[in-house]
Amino acid sequence: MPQFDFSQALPQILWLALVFALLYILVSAMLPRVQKVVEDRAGRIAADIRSAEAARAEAEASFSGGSSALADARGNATGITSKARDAASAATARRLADVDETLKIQAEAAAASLATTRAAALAELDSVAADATVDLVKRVAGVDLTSGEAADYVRKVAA
Amino acid sequence: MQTPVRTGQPNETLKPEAKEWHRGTKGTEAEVANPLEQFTIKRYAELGAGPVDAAFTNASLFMLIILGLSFAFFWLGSRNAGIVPGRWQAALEGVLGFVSGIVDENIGPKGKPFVPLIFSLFLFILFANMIGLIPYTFTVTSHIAVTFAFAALVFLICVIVGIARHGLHFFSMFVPANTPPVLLLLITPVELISFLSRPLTLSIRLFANMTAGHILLKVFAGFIISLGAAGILAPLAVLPFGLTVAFYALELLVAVVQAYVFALLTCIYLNDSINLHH
Repeated sequence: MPQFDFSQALPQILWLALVFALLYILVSAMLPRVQKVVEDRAGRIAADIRSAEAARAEAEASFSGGSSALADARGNATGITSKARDAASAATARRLADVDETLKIQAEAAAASLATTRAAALAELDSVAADATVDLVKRVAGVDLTSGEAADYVRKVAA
Repeated sequence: MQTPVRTGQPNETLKPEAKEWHRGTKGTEAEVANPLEQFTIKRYAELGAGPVDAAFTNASLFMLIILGLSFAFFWLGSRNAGIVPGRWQAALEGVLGFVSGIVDENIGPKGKPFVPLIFSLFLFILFANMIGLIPYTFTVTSHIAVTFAFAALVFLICVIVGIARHGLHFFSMFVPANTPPVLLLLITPVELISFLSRPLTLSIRLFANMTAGHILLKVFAGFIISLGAAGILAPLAVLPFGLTVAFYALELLVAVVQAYVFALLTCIYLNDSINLHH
């Protein structure tokens, strides 16, 4: 077996020592750079995660602030609406009362003028009846009555 | 790993039955494919002086290839490095995360200075094992000299770190607390032997896994050739072919798992030296 030919061992060991020493120097020189990149990446990922957490907390805070503002605004709006509704219904009631008043006055005025008209009409009815009586008496009895006499008769009969 | 079909190279090793198929390209004497041939150290250039033999071999070549691939991996993974990683950056960071995870789980925060060491071990062994699975390549980690050198390095670092951090108290590792003195006579040698055998088990595990896997692949691949040249039995070559494919998949898993196991055990041993609670 060539492996147990130890006359060939020394050159292998010497070359191995040389090559492995060079490899060790290479690795020692290069590994810190690789490790630095790995650590930079880990640090950057950690920083990104931290800033994302902070942004999330901020967003949550502003969301809860926003919802309270929303609730306030809703309360305000409800208040304004109910106030406006109250004011509107009060105004409506007031105008209704005004209109009622006006209508009442007009109704009274109308009733008064109706009464006067009726009185006037009734008064005129007497003179119409007296005229009718003069005509009737003249045709039936041939007697001429004066309108004053006829009016007296009519007044007696009507009473 | 090397497959038996190597048409372009001298000293072809093929079964006699396969000669017919082979004769057209080269007329060399073929023999049974030697599954150990793939582990041969080929000396490309003689280097070193006196008793110090530092020849440039195929092992040296593949170690340099591993170094080059590691450099390319780092270069691709760290150029244009950004917050959003590209493919290579994600791969590099994935391996780093994996190794850092092993270190963190087994040693804790005190293990951070050892991440480059564990990372280098893991990367080297992983690349060595994976490159070895490409046909015609050489598997650096299939040699006990290499795996033992790694294990010895880990062992020495464990001892040095232990003594540097705890002084002579480090040796209390072999004397578990609250043990009756009579049992200590038995337990201390056991602890000592288990500690001293760590570099052996660590190196043999990796060496044996890689060697056995490559021999297995070579043997089954050889069956494809010998059965394929066996006339009426030729269609049966499909069976070793299927097995070779299946074993290859298994070896890919073994290549990764062994790199992981080596890194994991190194961490566990380092933990004993650093945290000393036994």
